[in-house]
Amino acid sequence: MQAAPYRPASADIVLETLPAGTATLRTLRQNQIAASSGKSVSLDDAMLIARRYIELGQTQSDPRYYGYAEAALQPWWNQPGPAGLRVMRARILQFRHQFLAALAELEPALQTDQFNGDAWLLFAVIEQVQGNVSAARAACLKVIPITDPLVGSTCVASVGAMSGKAEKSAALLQSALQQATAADASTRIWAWTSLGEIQARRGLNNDAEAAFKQALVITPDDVYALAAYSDLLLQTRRAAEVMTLLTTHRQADALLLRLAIAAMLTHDAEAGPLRDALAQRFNEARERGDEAHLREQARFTLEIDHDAATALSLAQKNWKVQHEAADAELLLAAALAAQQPQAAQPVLDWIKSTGIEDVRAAELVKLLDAGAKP
Amino acid sequence: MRFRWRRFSVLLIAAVALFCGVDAQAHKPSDSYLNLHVENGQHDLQGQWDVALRDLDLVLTLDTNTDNQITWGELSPREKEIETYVFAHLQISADEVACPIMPTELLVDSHSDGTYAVLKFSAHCAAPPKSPPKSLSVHYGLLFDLDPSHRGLLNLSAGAITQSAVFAPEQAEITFDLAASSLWRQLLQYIVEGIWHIWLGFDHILFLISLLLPAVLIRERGRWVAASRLGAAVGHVIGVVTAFTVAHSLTLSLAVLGVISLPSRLVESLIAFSVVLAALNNVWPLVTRRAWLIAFFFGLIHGFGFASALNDLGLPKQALALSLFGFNVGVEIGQLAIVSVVVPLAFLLRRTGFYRRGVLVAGSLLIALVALGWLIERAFNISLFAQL
Repeated sequence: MQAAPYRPASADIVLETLPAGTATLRTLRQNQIAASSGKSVSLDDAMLIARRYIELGQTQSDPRYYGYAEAALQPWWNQPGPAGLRVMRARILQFRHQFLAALAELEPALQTDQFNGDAWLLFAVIEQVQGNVSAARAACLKVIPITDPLVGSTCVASVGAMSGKAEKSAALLQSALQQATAADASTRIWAWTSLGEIQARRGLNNDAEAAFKQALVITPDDVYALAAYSDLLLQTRRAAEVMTLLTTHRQADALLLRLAIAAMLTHDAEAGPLRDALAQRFNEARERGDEAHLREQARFTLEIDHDAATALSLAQKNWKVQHEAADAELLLAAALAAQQPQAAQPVLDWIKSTGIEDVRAAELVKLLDAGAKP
Repeated sequence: MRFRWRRFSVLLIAAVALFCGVDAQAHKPSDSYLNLHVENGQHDLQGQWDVALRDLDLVLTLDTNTDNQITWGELSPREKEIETYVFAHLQISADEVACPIMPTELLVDSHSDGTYAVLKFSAHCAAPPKSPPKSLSVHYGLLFDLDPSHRGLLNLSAGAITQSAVFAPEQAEITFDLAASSLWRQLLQYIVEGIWHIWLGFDHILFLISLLLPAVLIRERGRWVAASRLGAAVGHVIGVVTAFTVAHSLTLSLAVLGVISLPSRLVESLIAFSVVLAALNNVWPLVTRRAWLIAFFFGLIHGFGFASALNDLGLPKQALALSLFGFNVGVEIGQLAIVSVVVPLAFLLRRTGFYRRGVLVAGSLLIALVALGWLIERAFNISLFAQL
């Protein structure tokens, strides 16, 4: 992609399309500067701006907005501050996969404000990402009485599904979704996507697909729902549908990865260029010292580059940071491909201790067992 | 699972509505790419700085007509302003004397997350005229105030050495050692790696030994005869070693430069196969006078093996030639060390039955057996020796 620098041939050549809403953001920032007129900005104003950027970063899955949010909070970045500020910093750190630093912000926040639903929810999410099921469940239980019932139900169900209660969790989510027609869009997408993931892990592919479709009806370009749905399609050998689903969604690495896998499986002409674009992104991330993409990079190396040994070491590195079902499946698949069944041991222990139900992981474990005893 | 910021959901929905436009570019954190180049012994350095248009727009509002698009017509008239802004955030000094920066040209280029302004410049380091600068300091402060997660990725090439560094808010100034010693240090490091690789890579050693063992003998009418003069033996050895060296240097370079690539399992299997053949050739000779041909042909394969070892070390992009050269020199040194031990010993023992039967025949059979084991392991991806 990176060619030699050039001088565009004419003035009307469009070099860059800015994200929509750039002008609004600029006004917001200029107003902020004008309002402060030399004085320092108040923390409340700064948090308002930072919150706006974090929301954009989340919907767009665009790391630059998290940087802008951090800049808005810069004068208070290294100060204790109120719970709301700490939660915001934790949110930024969590996006960058600095989980321990994020938890270190949330703990004091929850000490000063134990009814902070955002803090408990974020706490639960981070514990869950790290595979700490009981800590995550405890945090979810704190969420229930203080927020929208659908938020609490989704939190509890996602954690429950990781600890051998997949069927009950799915039922809980289904009934919560039926009752929560008034819940806001972002919560409903999250709930539907979580339900889809639970059903997919139970092997109920049709139910999973229906749930993902519900999520995408609410917001058709939701990165997380698109990624989860694409994974279901890839697992059920429907790669061609992934090509259609994601063709206009390639900004987020997670989606570009699924598109590249689908292109490879369908022998699409785009397979080569997509692979190279992803490789360049991982390279750029590595150059800046960014390790937030280990999961994607390991999967890329395994499924597109077929370099099992490298993929295994990436998957192992990723497992040190993240313990979700996807991370477990990845390490199992990499250990299988690299013919190093002993490398899968930490995942086998984890599956045993959590009691997670996951048909795909179970299938990989069976293959690993068969390989280990020829 | 992802965190949902539900308390502000009204804003969130508004934001989603705002952002339904599709752009084809990737999302990544903000980076700029700064390349500095200084020729050995020169006082001037040439620079190129790629800064994302999206980042510049944040400060300078390049999208003058607010249609969310930046055209060349909007960008090029702002050249002076852009240069003034960015170069106010970059200071270069040599031996603690500032090097004034002179912008030369504004171009554009695309990176994975969009189009970047490419600012070409030169910097004149007015160090004392008698000696070229010994150290170079770069202070970088672009965009950190607007985005603390911004990083400046610096690539500095000074003569043959390349150094890279990442600027961050907590690391805004970096000093580089330009003294020639660092070049030597880097070269030396790769020479040592090359020596290690040949000494630790038993397959290369056994291949070479298999080809060298018969060098002190001459095959006449189906029988081995001791070479009468050391000269004849040395001629044979030089032929074999030169052929092996030329061949593996060739493929090593081609593979490292990315011209050719072979799957590593195939390469490793072929290397094992080459050892089997070379050893068996000593027991049942097929090729005797032209052993250099075997050395050349399989040397091509061994070169790919060296390349994967070198790649595993992680190669500096710009100092590729230097590291390649150093590694190759290291491999030759390691190889010559083996030759200088094996050949004199073999020459002294060449008339003995112990050498002809015990070393040449039994030794070669043993080598062939070990290499066959490797071949099976590598070709079928199983572990034989681990169980022993």
